[in-house]
Amino acid sequence: MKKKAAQLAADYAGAVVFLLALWEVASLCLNKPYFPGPLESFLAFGREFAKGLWAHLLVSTARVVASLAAALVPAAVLGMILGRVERLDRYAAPLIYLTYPIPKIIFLPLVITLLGLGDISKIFLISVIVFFQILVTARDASRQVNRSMVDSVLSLGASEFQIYLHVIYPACLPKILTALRISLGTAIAVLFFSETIASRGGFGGIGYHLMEAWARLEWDVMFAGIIAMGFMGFTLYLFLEWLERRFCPWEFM
Amino acid sequence: MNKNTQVPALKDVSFNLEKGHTCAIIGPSGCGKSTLLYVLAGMLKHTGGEVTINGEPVRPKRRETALILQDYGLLPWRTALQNVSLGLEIRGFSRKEGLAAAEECMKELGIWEVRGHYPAQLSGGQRQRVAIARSLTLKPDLFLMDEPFSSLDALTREGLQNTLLEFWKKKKSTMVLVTHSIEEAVFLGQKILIFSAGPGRILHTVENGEMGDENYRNKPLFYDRCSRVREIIERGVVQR
Repeated sequence: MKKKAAQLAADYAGAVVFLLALWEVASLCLNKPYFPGPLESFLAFGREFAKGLWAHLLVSTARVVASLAAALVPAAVLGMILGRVERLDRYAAPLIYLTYPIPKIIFLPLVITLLGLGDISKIFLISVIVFFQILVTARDASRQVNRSMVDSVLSLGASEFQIYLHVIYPACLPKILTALRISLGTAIAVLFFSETIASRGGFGGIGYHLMEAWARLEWDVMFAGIIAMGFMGFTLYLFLEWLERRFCPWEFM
Repeated sequence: MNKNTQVPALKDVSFNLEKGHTCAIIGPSGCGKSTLLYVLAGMLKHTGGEVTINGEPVRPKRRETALILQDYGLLPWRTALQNVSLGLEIRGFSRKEGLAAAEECMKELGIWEVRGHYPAQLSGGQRQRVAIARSLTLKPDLFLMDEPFSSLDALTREGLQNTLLEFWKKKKSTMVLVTHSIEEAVFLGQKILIFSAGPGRILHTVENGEMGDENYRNKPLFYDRCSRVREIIERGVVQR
């Protein structure tokens, strides 16, 4: 097991070196001030981090985490119920089908007008988007729960709540966590977008930092922001994968 | 009897099974065998007729009824031990009582060693033993089994049939076994109900009181019974 982990670490280290080399080569070939190489960018990242990028990073991470958390529980619970109670789903399904494909980001101006430029508007918008992705996944997963599994637990005398607790919830959990992981990309993209066009200054988040640097033509500072964004995405992704391993050990047999 | 739709799954099915006796139900697929089992388990409402257990009308969640399904119905996220103790956990017993009962039943079935394994890590035979152990913790007097061994290889299958037979002889619980294997029906059923294709009717009842011995499989009578059952099934199919 330990050897396996070491192998994995080596594999990832190799991939990192490869990507950095690619970056360096591209930067050398292009030879333009707006595309600095990795060394310059990471040095800038170190500098900027100490100067306040850390706070932007913290703000952005907090927003993503809050959005995912706010969407997760209601979407998962509602999805699991809709997947099991056909009568409810009959009313909900058309609503979901009509609203799911609408790109919710188009409501950004409206949301900002209603909720202001602060955290709430960003968290709300991201939550709504992630909510639908998890809702649909949870509902489909709940529909597909093996009938004989439910029946055999029912025959042991389970109540409806116990069916959710012992069968539906654990059956849906891996798929919900996968949906959460996929939603993470969307969440960060929406966060970036809303931070760039709707921030009040101060510690507006990485998106804000990036746009400021761009406006001042400080390319290395902008790349420091790009690194910060990538770092945040990667860390959160790792965290979600850890959650899955922690709470769904049977999936990794 | 309906199964949520307007097509009756069973028609004019009437039989009586004495306490402590076994009964095998065999017939073509779609003959309503499983429906009958679900009705007996109180999990499907019958739309006509009368179903009683110990003289009382059948009701859902009768504690002493154990239902064992074709694909075992084990929960993949619970270890073997956690699966076995689920029944008592659901009935509100303490963790300790649940584990103690589970240990006893698992030892009896020879699966205590694999208690920490998840169902995915178990063989088909072990999984079926876990399913049986789970139902045993509730001390059932009525076993309802829906093709419990159909996905096992021949040797494992016979091994489990022997285990089941031993169990039945020891505990004297009532067993209803739905199967599509003629040999299994003859080996385990004191009474063999042969169903017609849907809507299921009882074509014939074969009395098979001589079962109950592990060596029954090697006796000429066993072969006679098997060919008799096969003949009735085939005739029933030709008639349609």
